[in-house]
Amino acid sequence: MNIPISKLTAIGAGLSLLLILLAAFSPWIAPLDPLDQSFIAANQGPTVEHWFGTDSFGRDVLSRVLFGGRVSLAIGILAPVLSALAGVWAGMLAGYLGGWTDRLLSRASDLLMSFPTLLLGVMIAAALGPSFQSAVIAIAVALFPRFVRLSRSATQVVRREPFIDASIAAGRGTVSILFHHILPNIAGPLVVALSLWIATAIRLEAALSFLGLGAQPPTPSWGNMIRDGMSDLVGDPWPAAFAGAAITVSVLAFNMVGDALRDLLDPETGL
Amino acid sequence: MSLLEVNDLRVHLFTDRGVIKAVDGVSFAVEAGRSLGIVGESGCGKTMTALSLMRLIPQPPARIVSGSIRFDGEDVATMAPDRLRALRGNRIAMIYQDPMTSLNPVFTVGEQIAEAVRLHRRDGRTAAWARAVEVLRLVGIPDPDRVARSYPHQLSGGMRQRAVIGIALACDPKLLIADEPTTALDVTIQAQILELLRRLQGELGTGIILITHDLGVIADLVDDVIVMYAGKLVEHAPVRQLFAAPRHPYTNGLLRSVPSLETRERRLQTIDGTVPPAHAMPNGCRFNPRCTLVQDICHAQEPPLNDVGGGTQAACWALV
Repeated sequence: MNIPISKLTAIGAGLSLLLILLAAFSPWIAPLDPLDQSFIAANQGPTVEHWFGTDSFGRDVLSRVLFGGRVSLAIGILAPVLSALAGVWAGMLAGYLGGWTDRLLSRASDLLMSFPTLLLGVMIAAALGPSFQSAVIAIAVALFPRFVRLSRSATQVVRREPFIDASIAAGRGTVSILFHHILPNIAGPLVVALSLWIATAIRLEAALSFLGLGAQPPTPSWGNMIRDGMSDLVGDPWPAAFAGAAITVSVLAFNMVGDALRDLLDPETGL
Repeated sequence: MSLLEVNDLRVHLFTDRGVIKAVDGVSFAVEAGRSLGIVGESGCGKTMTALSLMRLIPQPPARIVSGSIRFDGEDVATMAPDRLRALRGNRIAMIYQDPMTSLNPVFTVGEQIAEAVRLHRRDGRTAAWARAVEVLRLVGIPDPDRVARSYPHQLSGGMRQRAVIGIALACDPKLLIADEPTTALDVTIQAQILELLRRLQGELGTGIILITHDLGVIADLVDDVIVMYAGKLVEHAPVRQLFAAPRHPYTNGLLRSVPSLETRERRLQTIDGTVPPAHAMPNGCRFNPRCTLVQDICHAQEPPLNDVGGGTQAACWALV
């Protein structure tokens, strides 16, 4: 590829930021109320009043995509961040202490890893009952073992560095070593993983709400917009198409950020 | 009372293939402001001995099975973990072999020294930073203000080792353990670091334990020497006495394998063979397969450590 890394990073980061801002400020940006129904304007293609067309209830698709982004991106970002907060500590403890702590935490995350991520998410969301919170919890749990594994193996590498022995010899306790010496040294790959797994989480959220397990209608999310659009994909493809495009663009944007960060931090090997 | 008194220390490694006696009944003492050298080949137990002094041995598989380590009147071997943390880096400090890797690459040198200070003293950030700069000046770094703000990769090997020594000195330790502090450095830098350690010993009255396989380093710096072989202490002598009149055949072999500028020799002498593997130690004296003076009793009975005159103690049936 001829595009320099910095340019790719800038495009990815800019696009991600733009999407987040559009979602965050959707109440001020959206041209219409995303819940306003109009039977006269139902099933329209893109027009001057409705840039992205309307759905079967005559709701403005552009407004729904913008508002849907609030839900989809909030879950897509919140879930991996929560997952990282728990998983990184668990992984660092496992990698640093070894022994029984490691065996217990590793087997627990192996157990979670043995389910396909989407299936695990569906099971948890279904068990908790469909809602915004349960989608967050489901995705966070589904990603948890990945963060454990990544931070565990990165910790095991740093653990062997002499400066860790040196800081034990300087009188540091375990928690202090994890926080001061391990975390700053494994932060690079973790940030890369976080941005890549935000993309994964956005896809998971879309899948969950497509299956009716995410945010509940009439609240729009990209996944449930596709689900609604499915019923009349031939007559009015616009809601599903634009929601799908929004998912594609945001997954692409976060993946670009992740890839660019990875190349930046670790030019030799992939994750 | 000595600053440090090690009595009959035994450190064993419990592995799947059996018990390895890494340190097997070693006793020595270090006085305040004096220095002790520990020499021997790799695997002779010198690093294990040093790590035991702060209980830094990897547990498991290693364990101190018996003996005492009395530092300042307290036994390190049985000390509670929080007392131990307060001891490490504060009253006993350690300098590691490789200055390239014993500093954390993501923090500046000053931050790392200041952190070491704040671990053991109730200093504020400004006071700790001032101490960091002071310590860097103490270890002979020109422009300590700039170096304190530098990351380890921005400094040369010698500078980094000075910084490492600075961290060790940050809390005014009474005892400094240096594990091969000059092995990873150029010869010229090596001399400067040794000079620095000697100066600090004089100025600060710190006791020093120097672990090395380099007899030149020992001759330069220490007052007393212990020679270890396969976990055992085989000779203990004042440094001049050791170089002038080594009594144990192993010590003699070590000294003869150092090239000299004064005498011309065709071929450098070596000690035949290698240290026996830990699970196949010979009966009697552990050095007997490699010894040129070996007698019948050497195969039958382990020699005790005896006073052999001139301030030297040696564990050998057939002294040189």
